[in-house]
Amino acid sequence: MHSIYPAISLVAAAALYATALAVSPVVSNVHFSARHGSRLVDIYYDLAYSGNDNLAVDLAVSTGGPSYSLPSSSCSGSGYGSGVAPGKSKQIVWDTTGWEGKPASDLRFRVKASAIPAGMSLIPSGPFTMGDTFGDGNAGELPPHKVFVTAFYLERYDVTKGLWDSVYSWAIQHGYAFDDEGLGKAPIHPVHSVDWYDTVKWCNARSEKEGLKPCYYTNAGKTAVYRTGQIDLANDSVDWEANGYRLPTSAEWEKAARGGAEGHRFPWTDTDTISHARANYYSSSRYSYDVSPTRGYHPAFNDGKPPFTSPVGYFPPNGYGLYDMAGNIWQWCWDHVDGKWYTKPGAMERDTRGPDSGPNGSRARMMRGGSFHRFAFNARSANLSMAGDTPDFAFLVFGFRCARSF
Amino acid sequence: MNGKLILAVFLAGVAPAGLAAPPVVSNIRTSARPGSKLVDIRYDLAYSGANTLAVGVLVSTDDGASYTLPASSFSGEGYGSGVTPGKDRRIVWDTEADGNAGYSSSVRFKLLAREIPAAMAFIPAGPFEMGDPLHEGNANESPVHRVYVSAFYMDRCDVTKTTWDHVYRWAVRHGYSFENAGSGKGPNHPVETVNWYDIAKWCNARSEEEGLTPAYYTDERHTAVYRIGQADMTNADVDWAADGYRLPTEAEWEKAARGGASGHRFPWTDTDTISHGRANYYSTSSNSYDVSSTRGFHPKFHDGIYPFTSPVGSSPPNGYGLYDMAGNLWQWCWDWYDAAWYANPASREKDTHGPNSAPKNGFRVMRGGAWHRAANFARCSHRGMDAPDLGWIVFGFRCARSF
Repeated sequence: MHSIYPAISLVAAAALYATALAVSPVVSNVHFSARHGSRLVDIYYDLAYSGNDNLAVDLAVSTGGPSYSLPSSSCSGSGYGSGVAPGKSKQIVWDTTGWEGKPASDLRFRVKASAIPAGMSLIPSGPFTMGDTFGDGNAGELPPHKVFVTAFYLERYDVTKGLWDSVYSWAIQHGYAFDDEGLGKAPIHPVHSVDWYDTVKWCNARSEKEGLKPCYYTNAGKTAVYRTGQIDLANDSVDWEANGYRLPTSAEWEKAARGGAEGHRFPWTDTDTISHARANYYSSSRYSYDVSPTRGYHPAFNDGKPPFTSPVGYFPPNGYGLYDMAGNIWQWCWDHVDGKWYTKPGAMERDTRGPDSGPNGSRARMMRGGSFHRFAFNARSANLSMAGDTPDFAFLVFGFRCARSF
Repeated sequence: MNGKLILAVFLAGVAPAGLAAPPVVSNIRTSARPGSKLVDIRYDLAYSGANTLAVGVLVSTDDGASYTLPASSFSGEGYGSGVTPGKDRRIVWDTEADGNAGYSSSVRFKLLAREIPAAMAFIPAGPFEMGDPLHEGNANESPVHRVYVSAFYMDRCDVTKTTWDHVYRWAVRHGYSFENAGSGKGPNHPVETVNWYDIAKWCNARSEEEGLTPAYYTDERHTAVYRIGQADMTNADVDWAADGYRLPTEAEWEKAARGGASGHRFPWTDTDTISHGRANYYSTSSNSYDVSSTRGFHPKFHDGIYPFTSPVGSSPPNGYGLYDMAGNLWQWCWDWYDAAWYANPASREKDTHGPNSAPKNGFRVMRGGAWHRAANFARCSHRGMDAPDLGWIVFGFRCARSF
């Protein structure tokens, strides 16, 4: 027996976010029914798409008000997540367990479909446990806390020197100015020696070059695209809805690094140990979970000419298909550095973007993931040790990768 | 007269590397100057070698049972570094400045005259104010506290790649093993990519090669010279009286960096600002005292090939004749790193060697900032730290020797 609420479902067709010229995927005919005797709700929709890209579908839920902010993530079905095929009567099953309310006529659903950008992974909506669940990290990683992160895309690889150069040369012909030209050991190695300002401006240039909407502005009104100079952007200088490239937030980064799993030390789940077979880092007997038979720098990449980076994607990917989320090179993130952030209420907010400013006016920004020259300790998914630096500092252990809002 | 002065005379004379006969002190005479708290110490100094000599004074207030009075208010042409041989050398001791302590019938003096090792500076005995006098640094630099440091020698420059290689080659033929071979941008650049264990062993090798007594052992009885592996030595594993090479303690390093002055931000005293004219560091507008006209890496050494070190001694020396105590490379020190150490009463002890046991992460202290770090890291009081088994392109060192 199904109780049906067809007329009340709200349909929201999704925009095309990808760079392809194909027509956007179109969602229509959304309706839902609560499954009798259970906490399950079935959501049905039709999906039309004529392009060749993989599609991703996300679900947003409103309990009657104007905001679709119910943290719903326990979704499954062939019509949910990445790799959804176009067709009629696509199904999403929402398990409402944990939600206090009851499915009723004032529920609203928004089904969003978008083509997954080439080279990126969908990180689905949902909560994850952020911080150190092993108790073997540094104090700033405590306490572990739940954060709900809305679906977003993250690049599978660090930005390579080759990619950096192609956008960089476009950018400097289109009004952009950078502090650093960026270096790289080879075109398929990660770019390094870029400062935070460089990476943020480069994200905007990449967006503009591809006809996307830039994320970063020099004013809260979001009219002046950030293209030159060193500007300490605040959270409200970012268009978080824009479809362009941006840095991941620290919460997004950690959720992505964990690959959809909970309670593990590294981006993989079959073991909580690390070795040079899994990552490019500095191995040491100081950490019991560092079981590498080779110690010190990674022997395959220590050629005596710093930096000892590895080509992107050299090691196996994590559960989200992301490479090098442990080691190789630090990845700049959006957030200001605040060593006590996890003890503040803002850290637990949905889609937290970190503090509005650093303590004592510090301009430092976060970096995640460890590096070829740091220990297994720093390659932990929760690591916040040494995980930040001043935004005008470009060094051979700093790289990045881009995110895009879903 | 303030009482009788009874003298015990000890001759000092260790001439480590040189072949010349050691300096000889004789004919010590002392007299308390009437109507003052000054004591005149006269002696004859014989020496036929060509090295510069340093003369220090140890004071006993218990008839010579121990020579531990923290006295430092000595002056005169017969004291400190650069004393020339001859008759009637004179040292003036201001007993009042040293707390009026010890001027009585039980006072004994020990005069130490030594050849200053080549390429090292003599850092005289005395107290200094350790920590952040300008209250602008990290919490771990406070509170400012007084530490008495006995006289010691310090390399004027960071250990160069050339010196490193020379000793390294000797060492690996004499039972030593290292984890890093050491890198260097040029023969006269400081060696880098060496870890703490490497350099502790290297100091021992340098001592043994030169016929000196090694400072580092893997046992508290000082029988097993540290030559291989990763030994997390404690303070008791060090022969602090040995004449061989060792790392400076954190207190020794900071005293040396301040060049004999106090209350300043950097190793120089004519200004408390910094620029690329004075040091190899990463200049930014973030620190008001960074007045460099060039920003970022030092333009003279930023050639696009990491690391951007400078040849040792590229910037002017400080008051003790030490080069590159701000910037160029981090300098490993002896001490284990404890962020709360300055709040510990033991940090005020004479010749403190730092914590007696390893902190949770086992980090050791490094000082002085580096070519890739901003001006705030180059302040004399800034405390750096890292894991002792990490060799990295921003870590170097220089040696100390006990006087």
